[in-house]
Amino acid sequence: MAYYITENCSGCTSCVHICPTGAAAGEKKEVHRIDEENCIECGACGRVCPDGAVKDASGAVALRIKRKLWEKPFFDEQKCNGCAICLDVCPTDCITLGFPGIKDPHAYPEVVNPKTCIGCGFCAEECPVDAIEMATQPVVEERKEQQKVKQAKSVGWALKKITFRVIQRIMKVAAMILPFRVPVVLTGPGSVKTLSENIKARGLNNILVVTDKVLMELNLLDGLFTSLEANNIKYTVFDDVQPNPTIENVEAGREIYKREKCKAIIGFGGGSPIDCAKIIGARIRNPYFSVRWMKGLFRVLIPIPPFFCIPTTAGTGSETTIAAIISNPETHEKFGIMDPKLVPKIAVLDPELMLGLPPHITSTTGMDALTHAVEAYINQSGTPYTDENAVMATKLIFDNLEKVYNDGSDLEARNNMALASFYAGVAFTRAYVGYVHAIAHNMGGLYGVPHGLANAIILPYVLEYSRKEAQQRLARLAVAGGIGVDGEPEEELSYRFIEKVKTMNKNMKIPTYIEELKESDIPLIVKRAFKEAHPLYPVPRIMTPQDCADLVRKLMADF
Amino acid sequence: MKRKGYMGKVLHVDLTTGEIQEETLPDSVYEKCLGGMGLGATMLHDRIPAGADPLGPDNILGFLPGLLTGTGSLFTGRWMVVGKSPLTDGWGDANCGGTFSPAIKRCGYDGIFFKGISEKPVYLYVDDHVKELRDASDVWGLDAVETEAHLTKTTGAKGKQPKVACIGPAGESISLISGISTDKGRMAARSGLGAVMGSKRLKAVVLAGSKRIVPHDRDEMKRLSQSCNKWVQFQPPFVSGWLTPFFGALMRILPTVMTMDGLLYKIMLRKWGTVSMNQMSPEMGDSPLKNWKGSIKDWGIRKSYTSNPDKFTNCEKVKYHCYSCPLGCGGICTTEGKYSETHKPEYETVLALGGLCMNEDVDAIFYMNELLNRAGMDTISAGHAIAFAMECYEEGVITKDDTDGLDLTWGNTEAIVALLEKMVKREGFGHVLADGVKQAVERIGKQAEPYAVLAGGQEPAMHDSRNDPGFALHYSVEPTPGRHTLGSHLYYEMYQLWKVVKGIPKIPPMYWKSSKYKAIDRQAEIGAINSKYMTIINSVGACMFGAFLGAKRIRIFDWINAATGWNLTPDQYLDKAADIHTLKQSFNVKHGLEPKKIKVSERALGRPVQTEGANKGRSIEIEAMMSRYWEQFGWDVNTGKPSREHVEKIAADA
Repeated sequence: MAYYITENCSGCTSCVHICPTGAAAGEKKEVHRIDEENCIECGACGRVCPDGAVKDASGAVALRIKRKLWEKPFFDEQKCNGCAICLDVCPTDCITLGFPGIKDPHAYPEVVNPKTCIGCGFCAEECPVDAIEMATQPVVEERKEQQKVKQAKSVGWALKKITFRVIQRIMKVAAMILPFRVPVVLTGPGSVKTLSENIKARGLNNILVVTDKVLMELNLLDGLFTSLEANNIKYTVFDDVQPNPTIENVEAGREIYKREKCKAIIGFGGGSPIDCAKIIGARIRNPYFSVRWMKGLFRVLIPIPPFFCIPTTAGTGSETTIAAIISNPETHEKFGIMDPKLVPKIAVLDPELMLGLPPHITSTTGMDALTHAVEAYINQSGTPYTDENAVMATKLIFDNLEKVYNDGSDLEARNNMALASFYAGVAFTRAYVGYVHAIAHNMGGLYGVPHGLANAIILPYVLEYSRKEAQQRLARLAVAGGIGVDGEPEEELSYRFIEKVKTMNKNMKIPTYIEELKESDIPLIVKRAFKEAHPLYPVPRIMTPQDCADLVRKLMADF
Repeated sequence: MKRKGYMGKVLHVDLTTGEIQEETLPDSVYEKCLGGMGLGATMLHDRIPAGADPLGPDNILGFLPGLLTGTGSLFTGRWMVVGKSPLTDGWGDANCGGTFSPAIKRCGYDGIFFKGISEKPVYLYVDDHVKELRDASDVWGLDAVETEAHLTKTTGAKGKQPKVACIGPAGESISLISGISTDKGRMAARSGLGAVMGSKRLKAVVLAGSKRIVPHDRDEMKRLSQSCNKWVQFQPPFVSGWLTPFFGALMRILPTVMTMDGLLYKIMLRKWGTVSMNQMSPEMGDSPLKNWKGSIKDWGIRKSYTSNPDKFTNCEKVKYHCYSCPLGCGGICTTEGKYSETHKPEYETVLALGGLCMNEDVDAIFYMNELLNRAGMDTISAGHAIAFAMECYEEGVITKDDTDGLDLTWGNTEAIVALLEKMVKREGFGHVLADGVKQAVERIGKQAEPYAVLAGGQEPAMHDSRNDPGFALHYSVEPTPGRHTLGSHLYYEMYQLWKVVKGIPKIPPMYWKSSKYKAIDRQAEIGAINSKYMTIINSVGACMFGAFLGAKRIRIFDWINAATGWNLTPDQYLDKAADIHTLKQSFNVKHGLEPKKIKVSERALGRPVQTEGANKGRSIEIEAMMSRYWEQFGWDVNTGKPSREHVEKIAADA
């Protein structure tokens, strides 16, 4: 049985345009016909007919209904099993599979384009588990909101969050008890030269200098070499470190250390040579444990040889952190080794070494440091000590980053940025980072987006997401950063802080999106980000997978 | 619009003349053969002339959805492709999931059959208004994923995106181990039916219909589905991949067997998919290793560790559900290198390209999985062909001069990948293996024969018949030999059919492992029940993994009654299945196959017995079991042939 058209038809062609199977046909201003063979009884023709000329199989006139009152499907995620019957039955293909939701990693249906939905209700009719309800658009929106709230308040999710918070509390206490060393800091222009004297005073005379080829070509190490030679300290250079150091790099460095019978290590450069140097040290003292085995927390059993650190960028904070990031080229996996034993003995913050940094590196590494400071401050594992460092770092960055971006030769601003990076490092190595890092690491892993740049882009989005929970802390940072005064409403200050971050990005030509990001990768990014962030990162607001997917989607160029 | 779950029509396409005709089928046909494979067997039994060349114009290739597809039942989105197999020269069928099954019904058909050979490459396009053969010159030569993307983009009616089943370059070059792909690499891979499609110069079938499929009693269908869904959604947390090999080892060590409840396997499938067996199966002796001559001594936990199930889910972007599947055992995985993503490799693929060739490199398996999916080649057969070549190389039957310089030593990943790439392109030594092990023996020579493990020309699957006599039986007696999807002792345990069918053997909660090898009659009896039940499963388009839930939890028989309005008992359905099974056996006999001769190779039967590992000292008395199995269907106990009267009676009833 099918719908049919009576003589009342004025030939307006509305039914022809709406019919999903092409069953309705006819010439303009002539009575139309419905092909019984192809009619699927969706009723769309009747809902658009202005003449009341369409009758259903039982002979009842199909009433015209305003399009905005057509019912759309609402999917109850708790009932839905992802069987995709609704996708197949939909005659207009307006339903598609969304991203893995709370029941991760399965994908569940959603209406991708409500405008193409003709309200036929076949999806609801055929859904084997009655997970679809037809309702008008405002009701559907309301139900979606209710569902989100329900999910966030579900017992399973609540238990998960409680587990995360308990683990985070334990880690906070552990961080307070553990002997976190703070490196001795040598600061100021030319401070690199004073390092040699410190090394000599410690009786070390055979050093492995870990760096990369670019820095060697720029002759940036000349000052260090001259002072080492002046103090009769023998040294060997290992400059094969790649931008994302690999296990092979570590093994090659270790071989040289053994061959030359070195006694100490200097890491010279950005995050890559310093991280590589840390892991070379770990492997030298722990030869029976592979780099892969050391992945994770507290897996470096024996302390590394004397280690000194000379950063040439202000951002990573690697000169004071317990972490080192390494890549496994076989699996294309980037992972971290975290142990307090990796903290260097001395960190040299010499602004002269940073003079040659191009503006875009200066800006992105600087924003990296700001991300460290902000995430550490708004996290729930902060202590007065980490708070103090995070506040100092934020203030220095607000005051100096744009200055040094516009004038790279400003030695004082460079020095302040180096200090800010160090303070931020001290803060986050104890109070952890948050979702900005968890998502940014994926942008690096999947698309090779520089870490600092990814952090800079993502930071305002994550702050907006957590603003309510972190309002008080953001307000305090805003005051400390000099963009507000005590007594102003916290809400306003928190918004102002986020606005300040956005303005800084804009002024330093940092985009608001990630060009390479693909929609199809979002589920994987969410999965990996969660794997990194949960349960350890003590973020102010724990994301649901759907929240995270929504946030990452905002980072797309065409959002 | 019929309200019986089926559409009542089939489509016949003559590729030689270009003629396309509909045939209306009476209800009695469905009542006799259900649909899907049953309908295929009924249609092809009489319409393919005896002795027809599988790659010639007389062979008919049929695409069939299941009877229950689209009726609101769960686990029933699978379709069958049927025809005379060029690999076994007998009945051929292959089963596949994805979203193609309902697409056939939505065009208004319960089957689409192709005969003849087209002069130039063509594809069939069907929607609500159009049924036509179109020129496929611009997609001929493209791989399966590219073909699907191109045809999806360039064809299609208003609103509805078409569904595509197509062959890749392997099918085009008539590789006898090629299959048919849908949904970017889900394969109907067995029986070499991709070669039949290639021989007909039919590149693809593109369907964009939107007809409705209406069951007799939708409310009852929903009630049954919701009861089934409840079991599927039960998923305990804290299931870890690290436990699986130890669970397998425990099963190997214990002298007794705890009867397996399919709900346990469902939990593993939902968490990991079939890769959950990657470490467990070798440990318990279920995986053939090193071309069926190896054992757990060659492939211990350390070696199989690289394929731990957790490693597969770690790169899984999202779970993949076939149409109407509430479980979602598939997955879309991201990979590095040439291809950015691939369907999660199945257990069969991982073992065929892994343990069978002693290859530990899982990244290479991901790559080879996608390479074979795109080429449209059967991963089980391809893995077998490589393992066979490796043993020939080890035994000195072939040398580096024959292998184009490839060092085919066990586990040499680089050589395995290179050889597979050659097979796909039919280059050099790759051509020798590109048609499977049976053809490779003919090309290399008689001296290679001892190293070929086959069942009637088909490479058996990755379940060791020495570990479960049920597999040995089904590899040897089925009209489509060498299949792991038709039955085994373990499957019978999980089907739990005794809960809905009276008078069939019940498996106790625990039994001695050795008893499986002694009870010949009992094995044959449960083997016959398995065959019948799987015939029903394949005729209604259901999924074997769904059936593993147990007959009380997945109410297949009740679903059929609710969808069609029939009111038959499970016994009556099993009788229909026996008739369908007999038709397939009769098809083989008609085409000159001797059922006695298609039994699986001696090595897979434990002749000689293995001296170490999980299957140490085990051998299967297959001849006696085969004879008893034939008896269950009323076939000749000595030859395995159904009598003419028996077949004529079935034909007359239809």
